[in-house]
Amino acid sequence: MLIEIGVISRYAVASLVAATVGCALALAQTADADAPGDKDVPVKALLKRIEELEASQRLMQQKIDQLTGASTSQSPVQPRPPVTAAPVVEQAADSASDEEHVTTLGPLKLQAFGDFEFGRPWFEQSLPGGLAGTTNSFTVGDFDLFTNTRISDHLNVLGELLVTSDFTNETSIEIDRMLLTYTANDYFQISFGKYNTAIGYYTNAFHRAHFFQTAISRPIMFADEDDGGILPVHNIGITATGKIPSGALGLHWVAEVANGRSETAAEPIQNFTDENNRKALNFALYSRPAWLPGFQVGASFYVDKIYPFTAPAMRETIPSAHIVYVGGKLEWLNEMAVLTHSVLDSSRVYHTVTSYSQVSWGFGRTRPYFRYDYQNAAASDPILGSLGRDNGPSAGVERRLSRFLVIKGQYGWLTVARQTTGALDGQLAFAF
Amino acid sequence: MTKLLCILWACALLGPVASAADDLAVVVNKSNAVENLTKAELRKIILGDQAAWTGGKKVTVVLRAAGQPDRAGVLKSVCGMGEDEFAQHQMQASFNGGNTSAPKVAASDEAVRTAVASTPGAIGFLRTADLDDSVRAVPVDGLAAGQDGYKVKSAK
Repeated sequence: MLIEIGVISRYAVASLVAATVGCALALAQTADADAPGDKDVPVKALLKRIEELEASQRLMQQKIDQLTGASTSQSPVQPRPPVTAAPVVEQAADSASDEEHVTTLGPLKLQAFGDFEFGRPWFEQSLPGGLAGTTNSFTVGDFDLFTNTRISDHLNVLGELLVTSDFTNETSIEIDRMLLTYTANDYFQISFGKYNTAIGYYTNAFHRAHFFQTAISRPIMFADEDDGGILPVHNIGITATGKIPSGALGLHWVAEVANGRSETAAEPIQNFTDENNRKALNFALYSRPAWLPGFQVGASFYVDKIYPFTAPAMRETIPSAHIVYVGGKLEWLNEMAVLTHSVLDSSRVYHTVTSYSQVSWGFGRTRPYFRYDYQNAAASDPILGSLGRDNGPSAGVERRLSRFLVIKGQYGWLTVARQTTGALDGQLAFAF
Repeated sequence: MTKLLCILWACALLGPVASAADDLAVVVNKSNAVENLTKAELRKIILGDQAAWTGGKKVTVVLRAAGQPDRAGVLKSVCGMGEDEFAQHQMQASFNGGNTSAPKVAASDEAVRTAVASTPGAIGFLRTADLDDSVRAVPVDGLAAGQDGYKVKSAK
């Protein structure tokens, strides 16, 4: 007990001494501050200390930005902010409440999209000659792993890895997009790698994520090459784009040079080697007028030479046009392309038309939609003739259950080779 | 009955009126030479469709955190979007290879001001009462915050 009292006494005495010294210092400081001539000294010392702390905080913020890939590191030569506050700004990606779906691995940000379906595997993956499979199939859709990561002020890397399956029931892994992009400014951006060709609107607005699409499937027009699609929606090469100074017209340009597609190999996308020295070229121009946000109108022109085994060499040209409006309530998409095969050194020309029109209206989180697909291949076209005509309407409802989950139901009819098939389909599409 | 009519009349008068106190001034760094912004330009900036100012300085958008009325008001009055729509837009823009810089999130109005004052390409939104000479307010469609017809408003 005595020992405890002694300990307590020692603490009490120490506290008393500390308090006394503190008071004395405070009084001395007050006296100093009141003393004419010397009053700036402690203020200057405090200001100096604040500046040191701010400099230290800026350095720490820069290091944090470097580690997290944030892009707003403050230059040490920037003027000191007049209000000194605690660190005030953080990257939204670091804010768990804002973007919880983003996983940060160093500078790498990952997103993923997936979907699950029930019904009859639908339009865009229909087999030549008609739909196959039962009307009550469970379907694992795409697993779409995606990153768009800034690696410097002007460079970023975009990658989209797709794990998908088709009517063979086999699962395959493919790089859907892989691009290194250099952005000089709003008027010039150049990318190297594998990309979605700038033909039309849909393929570059939604890519392979069903989560963003209103309808369950892509239009037949933009079916992947692997699924019998007739347009070269993927390419490997160089793509450049930018704005055109045009005021309220909001004009943009795109120019692309790529391998084009193979007409001889089982894999039409020439990921690794080009079977000929000819390159495919594509040019696009579109307008996003400032006075009507969500509206876009544009056109593109694609040209290549193809050398099929079973037919003479041909020039392939694909003019396309689109007019779309995507607003808070109304979504209205209209696109058409005419794929022309002209036999070299001959007057034989084959035209194939592919198009769709889609309209939807949002009632809160629910969005009913209607689409009509139309594609008609020239019967005598040596490459596409066997496809004949595919057309039909589909209608459905999309409902957003949460920020990252969508459910859709759709009924559609597709006429292939003069046989009409109807199919009911449901889909859960999600982002994470 | 007369009382009821009076109350309804008063509600009708007071309810929909958005006062100048709800105006959010658009503020930029003092080194930014921009003189005026149209609402369409402002929309592009917030949605990441315009990544740089004239002259090449990178745009940095500073917004309050999700759920704050000032942020909700900016998204609604400028972009016509709610928080969910904005989040989906950001996700889709990134998916399409667009601007990867998400808006910076500031914890307070003071933090907005500090961030804008210290970042050359920054743009933020402040109530007129929170303005000081560390940042510069920019008119929108030729109107300054507080003037009749000004369209950038905080949510109530």
